[in-house]
Amino acid sequence: MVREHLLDAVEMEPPEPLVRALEMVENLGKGDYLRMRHRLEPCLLYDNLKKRGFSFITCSGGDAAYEIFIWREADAEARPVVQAQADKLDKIVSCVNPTDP
Amino acid sequence: MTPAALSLAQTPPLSVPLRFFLTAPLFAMACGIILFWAGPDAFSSRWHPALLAATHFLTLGFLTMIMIGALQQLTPVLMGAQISHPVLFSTVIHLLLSAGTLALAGGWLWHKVGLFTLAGILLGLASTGFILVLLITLRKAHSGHVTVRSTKVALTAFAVTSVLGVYLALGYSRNGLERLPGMTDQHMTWGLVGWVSLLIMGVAYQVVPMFQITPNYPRLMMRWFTTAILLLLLCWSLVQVFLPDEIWILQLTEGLLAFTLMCFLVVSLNLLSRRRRRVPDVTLNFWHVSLSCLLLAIIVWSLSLTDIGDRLGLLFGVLMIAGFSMSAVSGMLYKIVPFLIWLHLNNYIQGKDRTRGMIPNMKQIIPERNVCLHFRAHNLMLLLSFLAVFWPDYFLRPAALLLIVTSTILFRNLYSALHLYNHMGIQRVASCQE
Repeated sequence: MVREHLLDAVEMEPPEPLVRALEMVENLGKGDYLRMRHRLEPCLLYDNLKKRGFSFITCSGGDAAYEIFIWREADAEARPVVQAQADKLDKIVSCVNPTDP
Repeated sequence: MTPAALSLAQTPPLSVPLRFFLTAPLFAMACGIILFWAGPDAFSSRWHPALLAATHFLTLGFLTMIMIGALQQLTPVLMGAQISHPVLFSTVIHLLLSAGTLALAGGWLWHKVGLFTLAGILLGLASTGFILVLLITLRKAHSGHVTVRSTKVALTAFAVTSVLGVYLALGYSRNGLERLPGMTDQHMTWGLVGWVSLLIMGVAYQVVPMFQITPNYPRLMMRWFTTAILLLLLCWSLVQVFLPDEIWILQLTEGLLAFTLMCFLVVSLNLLSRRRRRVPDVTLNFWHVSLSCLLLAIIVWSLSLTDIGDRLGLLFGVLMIAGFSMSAVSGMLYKIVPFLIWLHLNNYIQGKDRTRGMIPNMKQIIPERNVCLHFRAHNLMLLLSFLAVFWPDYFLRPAALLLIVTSTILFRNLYSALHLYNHMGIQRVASCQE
């Protein structure tokens, strides 16, 4: 079963969004993904996620300036659900999705 | 900002910015010592040698020192442009700037013409080297962020300030260059309204929304304001040199410059009042003090257009240097330094392929109560400095003493952050990674 975990970082000061996001992704189970809302694009987070083996899609166009979807890169269950969520938003700003062909 | 622009791999070694940040309070202390030693006479005229030495300890030794250090951090991390050999480059610039500032102050304090020549050469090399390398590096910037544009504009103003400053320094030396009328005022205005204010504005566009959780500055302002100020300064300079009798044009450009600074002030205060997170924050108080001093400086500048009094020129300098610039820069340091320490600790943990590690949070790196202590001492120092402009016999030495205390607290706070970093046993590993 796919579960969404929400992190609203809109009112957080750097580096709290990064710290909280890294804490939360470590606890993601199979089929889980993290949806992070942020007012800035969390560029520093990307390197951290890649090194830890997570995939992500960053979108704009939602309630927050940026929404970042993060899941374990080997998790085939979470990926299509995240993709569907991202498609509902306007624009994909950046992504690392190693399971793409 | 492009995602690639803000990358962990592009973070320069911590020693690059920190050597500048830790040296700056020492120059501010030296400024306090000179003023205390010279006593009330120092404020008798803006041309008093002790006052000139003290002023340059603040403008070059404190403000420019911090701004050069900060730019070497921001250029690769925010703008995505890597400076080649960052440690060697920062070491050379740091040494040239420190030695040049000491030589310049020594020239005034001991009336040694040789020291002015030495200062002219050292500071000329420091500014030319720094400006050229930064401008060449910024041409490669991946980021289209407005900070790139405002940094280039600020560097242009720094170049004009430096050329005028080096020319004036060499003018003190034997068989010195002939001093042109109004050159000192041009040097001061390009330095304070150009280099210092433009860079504070450019960095504020980035750090105010990021750290104070406010909406962004208006795009129009971010895109055009710094360029507009540069063009107005250029116009003001040309009119002063070629049309000195056309007072109305001079006053018009000065009025427009004051207006643009006022717009920045009003927009900044408005953004700070709309910040999302309503928790007490001392760095916000530093911003409020800084912007209030800018407001007073603009008012004093407007009054001095009608030549009300000699004291106003001195008050304008105190408001712009100690009030607006030192307050803003101190507030920014208390956000930037803990963030850098945190970032390097985080990089270290990544480098060791560890996913978790005990990294202190920002408030633990420099505790809030220590920043509050600095803020209170800084405010008292500012108040005494303003009073010293009009009653130097009573207030100059207390103000100088408070400047020494304030700078000592700043140094201790910054050094404690570095000590924490070293204490965690990172320094040796980080230097190996360089």
